[in-house]
Amino acid sequence: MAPRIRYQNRIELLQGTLDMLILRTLKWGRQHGHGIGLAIRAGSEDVLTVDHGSLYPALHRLERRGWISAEWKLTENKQRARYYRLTAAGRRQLDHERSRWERMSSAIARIMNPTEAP
Amino acid sequence: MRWFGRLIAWYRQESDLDREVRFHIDEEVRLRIERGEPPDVARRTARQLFGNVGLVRDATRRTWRFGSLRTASSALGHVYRSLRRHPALTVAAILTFALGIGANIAVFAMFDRLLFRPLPYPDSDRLVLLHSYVRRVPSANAVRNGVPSAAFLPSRVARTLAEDREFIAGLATAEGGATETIPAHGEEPLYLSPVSRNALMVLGLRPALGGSLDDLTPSATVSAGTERLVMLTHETWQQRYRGSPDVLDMAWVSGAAPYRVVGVLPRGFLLPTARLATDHYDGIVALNSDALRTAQRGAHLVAPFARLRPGVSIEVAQARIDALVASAFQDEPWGGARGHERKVIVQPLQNGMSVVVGPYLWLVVGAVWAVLGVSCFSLSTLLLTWGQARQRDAGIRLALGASPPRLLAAAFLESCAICLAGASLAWLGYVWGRAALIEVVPPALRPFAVEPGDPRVVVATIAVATLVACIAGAVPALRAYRADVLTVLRPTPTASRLTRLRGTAGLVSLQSAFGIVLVVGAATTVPAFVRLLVQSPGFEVADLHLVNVRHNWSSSESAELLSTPEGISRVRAVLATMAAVPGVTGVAATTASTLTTGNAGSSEFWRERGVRGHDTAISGELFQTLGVAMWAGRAFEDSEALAAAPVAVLNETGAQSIWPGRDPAETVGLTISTADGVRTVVGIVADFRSHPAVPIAPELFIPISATEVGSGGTSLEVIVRASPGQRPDRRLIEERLNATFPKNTVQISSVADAVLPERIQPRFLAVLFGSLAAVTLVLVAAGLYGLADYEIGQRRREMSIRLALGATARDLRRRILALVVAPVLVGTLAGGFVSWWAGSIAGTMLPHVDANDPRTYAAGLLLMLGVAVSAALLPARRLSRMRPSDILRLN
Repeated sequence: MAPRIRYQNRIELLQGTLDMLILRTLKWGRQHGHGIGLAIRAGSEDVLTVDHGSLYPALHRLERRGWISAEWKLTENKQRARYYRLTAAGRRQLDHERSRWERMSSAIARIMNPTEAP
Repeated sequence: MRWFGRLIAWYRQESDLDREVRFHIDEEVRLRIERGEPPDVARRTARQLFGNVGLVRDATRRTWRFGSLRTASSALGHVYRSLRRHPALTVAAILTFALGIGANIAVFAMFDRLLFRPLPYPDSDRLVLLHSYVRRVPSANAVRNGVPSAAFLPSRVARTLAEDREFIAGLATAEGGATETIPAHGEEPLYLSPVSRNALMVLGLRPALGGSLDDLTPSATVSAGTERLVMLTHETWQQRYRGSPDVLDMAWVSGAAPYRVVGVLPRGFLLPTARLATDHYDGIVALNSDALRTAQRGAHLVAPFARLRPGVSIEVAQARIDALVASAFQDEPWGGARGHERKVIVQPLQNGMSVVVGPYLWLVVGAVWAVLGVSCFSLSTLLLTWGQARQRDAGIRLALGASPPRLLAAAFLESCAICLAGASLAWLGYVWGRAALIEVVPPALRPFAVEPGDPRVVVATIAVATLVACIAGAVPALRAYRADVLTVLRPTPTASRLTRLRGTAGLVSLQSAFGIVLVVGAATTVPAFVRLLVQSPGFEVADLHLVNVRHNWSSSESAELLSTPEGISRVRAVLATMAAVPGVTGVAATTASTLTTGNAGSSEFWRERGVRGHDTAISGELFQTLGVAMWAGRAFEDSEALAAAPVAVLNETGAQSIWPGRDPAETVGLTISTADGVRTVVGIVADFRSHPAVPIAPELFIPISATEVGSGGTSLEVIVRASPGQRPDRRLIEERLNATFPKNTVQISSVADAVLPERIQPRFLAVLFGSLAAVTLVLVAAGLYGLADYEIGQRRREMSIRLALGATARDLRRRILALVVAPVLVGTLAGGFVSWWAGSIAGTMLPHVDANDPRTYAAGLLLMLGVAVSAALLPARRLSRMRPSDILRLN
């Protein structure tokens, strides 16, 4: 079987960061799945592309954990879409994720650039 | 209604996800169109960007509550849709497997209790059968496969063993067989199997109703030694007495012996006897005395069994008994002459109960396994051809992002779904046909049949179905796993596909090899049974009854029943009494049960003439009662029969043995020399036999009162012809006889019933092999038809080109036939050799059957090839009738 090369031109999100990005995106207000994908892509200046195979499972996982809630609403174009909204638990989780991410990114930065360390 | 709410929520979650995914793609399309992309490009790009919708759905489902279950149900839904797209193949595959596993369910349910699971007694591994044997020269063959030479034990040996409390916890007997007794006037008789009083205690069983047999005090009105204690089977108690506890009050006298019902056996009770020839019985009966203490010196215990003490192994018990017998009977050996070896064999009860029928049952088990094998290969062939037909579908799924493990799982799931559906169908078939099946099984095996709902049957069915699904689905699943998008979606080449069908041809060969074994089995057993059915014994069996008159005289009184004037007058009275009974149209007496047991051995008269034959003493009316024609001369007159006249009648074979080539009429009036003097042959009677399975032998009939007959023993056999549909009234006969000669007991059996068991085993084998062979042929035909049809479907393009280039329809048919018939021929020849080998082993178990007849093998081979050619020819003919342009259009 020929080897299949996937996602060659994309930067894959780090394990666990998608949840944080979704929560962060929803902090600006409710949004549907497609809009969340676009927002992440635009926010990262087209560097990060969310794989749809991961986006919807992540949205439903976060909903099941109670960090986001969903409801069907009409879009501006009068189409019914499933909008997601951050819950209070989701806000707490976002804070937690953010502090964890900051700790981790600074730790990685220290390793990658040892001379620049404070 | 909570479950209903959950169901709604489940459904809503699914539909929400669908709508959400649809919105996502639509929104992407809208934005792209707004950016100026053409709609069709926008839609295609949006779909490509989203990727595999099915995978996204699956991954999302897994995050829900019971996500894995939902994914599985979704996979099952896919399997269902896939099967529904090919209804004909699905039905063929399900029926194929149902036929294969159905036979196995039936046989497993019938024989599981006997062959595969512990006997239903507590600590059954401690129960053993005890047998004695005496042999002249020690030989390894004396106890072949653990079959003892005699299922008895001298009572003094048994007493010695029973007293050895260190190794044996208890010793009892269960003879097998059943005796008839009638509890009340006008009631149906009860058939009771004799056991010793402590049998239940040794088996470790408690009665379902009533007390134990061995701690009962005798009734006040009868003496302990003569009272018969009866314990009914649970089935008889339920069916005949509606489960009433009043059965415990039942008591009656039959043949001067008092009977009393003291309990009901536990449900599913099995008689612990190696004599599986035991016919139907309604209960057990025990003399209310200790058989070991009351046994006379020289007597034997029939079919003894014992329970070993905990921790005593069979080997230890055997060594201990050997030592005990050697020390206790060194100076006083039992049986045989001095110098003979004597031994008591200890045999596990489980082995002992099945040792006689074991090989026979394994033959049956082997046959149904062979059918399952055929079914498995046939199913595999169908799945393989089916899988190949769907390779394009698999390629598209792969292209859309389905992973190879997913295709593998889907192929296995399809196989499992087919097998489980087939198993369910087969199980329902067993539930529906169980009663008919039990009628075909020999009576001795019927008590072992379990209910369809038996957990072992259900679990075994599911296990076998899953196993076969894995085996049959393995090759198709692996092919699906190895499928490559580019290879699969490449345009169909026109080259020969022989290489692709290599695996299928192997399966067809294996299937044919299994098939020929069963076809030969059927060709061997079915004609033998048909011969048995159509072969007349030489007389009309219907309405003929055998009446056994036991006079219960003391041994001194009965010494000379037929050779004294009193004995003769008694026979005369018995015949006269019976002839006067309403419904009786003919009566005759004989000294041997020639009509039920056959004649074993050979008489002195015939041995002197170098042939095997028999002497039978009869009263004058025998031939007339049986309805046998006289070829020449006459039968005895009653005056001659009862006055020991020096006359004789020969059967046709007998006359030909003595005077070969002479006309029967010419032999009448000639004289023959017998042990009793010279006798004049007064008639030649047509040949007849005790039952259809017994070969015709020379027969000399002499008057029943002839002195050479000797003692008539303690009973007289009377053959009674009754009016159509009537049965002689046993009680009336007994009453009338007792009015003249007291203490008579009478037992009546139907000659047809006696002949029937002789037909049961061949009938069972014939029905079994016949139906299995028919099933096999159907399976082989279905598999080959599917293969040929598929191959033709794949070769349409090639064939149409050949036809267009001038090939004839016959050429095409020949190519298809060669493709299908070649593996069948290879498999059939290989299976034929296996059958020959199996036949030489099984031949010893099947009397009156030649298991290695070359004609049978030739017929089997031709039949298999005929089925293969027919199965392949149907689709081939259809193809060859089409025009090349039509075929190409179909492509």
